Amino acid sequence: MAASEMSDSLAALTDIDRLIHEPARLQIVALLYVLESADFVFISQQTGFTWGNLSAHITKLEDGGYVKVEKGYKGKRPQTMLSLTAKGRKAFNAYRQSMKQMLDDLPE
Amino acid sequence: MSQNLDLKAIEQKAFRSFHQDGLLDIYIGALTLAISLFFAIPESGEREGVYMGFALLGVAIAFAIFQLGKKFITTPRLGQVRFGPERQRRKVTMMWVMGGFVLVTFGVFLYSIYVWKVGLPVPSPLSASLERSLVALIAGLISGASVIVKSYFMEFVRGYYIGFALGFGLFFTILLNSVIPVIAAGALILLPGLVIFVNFLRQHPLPPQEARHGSL
Repeated sequence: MAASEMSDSLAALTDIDRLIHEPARLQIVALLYVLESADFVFISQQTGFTWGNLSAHITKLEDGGYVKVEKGYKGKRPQTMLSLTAKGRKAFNAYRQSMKQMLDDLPE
Repeated sequence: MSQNLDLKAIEQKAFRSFHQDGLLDIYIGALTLAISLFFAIPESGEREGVYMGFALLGVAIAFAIFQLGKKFITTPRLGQVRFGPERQRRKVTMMWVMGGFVLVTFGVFLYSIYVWKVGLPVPSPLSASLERSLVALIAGLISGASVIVKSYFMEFVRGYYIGFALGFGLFFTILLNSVIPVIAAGALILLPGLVIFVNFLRQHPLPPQEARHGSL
């Protein structure tokens, strides 16, 4: 691989979506990607994150417009459901594509 | 990347997590034990109503335990989730298949009532013991297969064991005219369910109320 090609590949790394790339958030986004929606308890159970940690990551994803937080009621009990927005879904797909592309392009 | 981010495995793990509470095992086990009372009715028919009453009460209690347990014990610990369209399609297919099982069972039930009241349209070429074996086989196959097929759609792996236990239990109960096999099957389904349920409670403590809404 020529030096310029190598530097192009490395430069592509900077284009990676950092909001998704962080391992904890990647787990949350991947889980929400395969579900329609889930609450905090379910995501915490599946990922093993503490409440505070999970809450902080969800806030970042919500601020980035990737996750929608819906607060409502089921009967008399309050219920907060999380789901991936269309923007979040698109970003995750783009992230998967770019990561795959980048790793495939690496020399053996 | 593909090894670390297997989306199908993530979805499957999330879906299967709902069977780790043991409540379905307890429900089917308790149901099998309740149904065993039907087979315990004496040949003389003495106190038939009492046996049937207790059997129906047992079915109702088993159902209530399952529903209330899911609502008040499992869901607060595992959380709420809605799965994607593929799972919903699979659920609809399962309902159609299970509807087919219910129809077949109902047809067999109606036919047995007809034969019991009116008799066979033509004299049976089979001996009485062979007829009993055939009835036992049909009952075992229908009950066992329905649980196994439902387990396949629900990805409930222990359901295969439950299906076999239930099928064999009913088969031998009818074949041997003894209530013991179906009671044994019920116990073999119920007891592991209770162990799984206790483990589930240990491994999944109730999260604080605030945490359920992400406010911690």
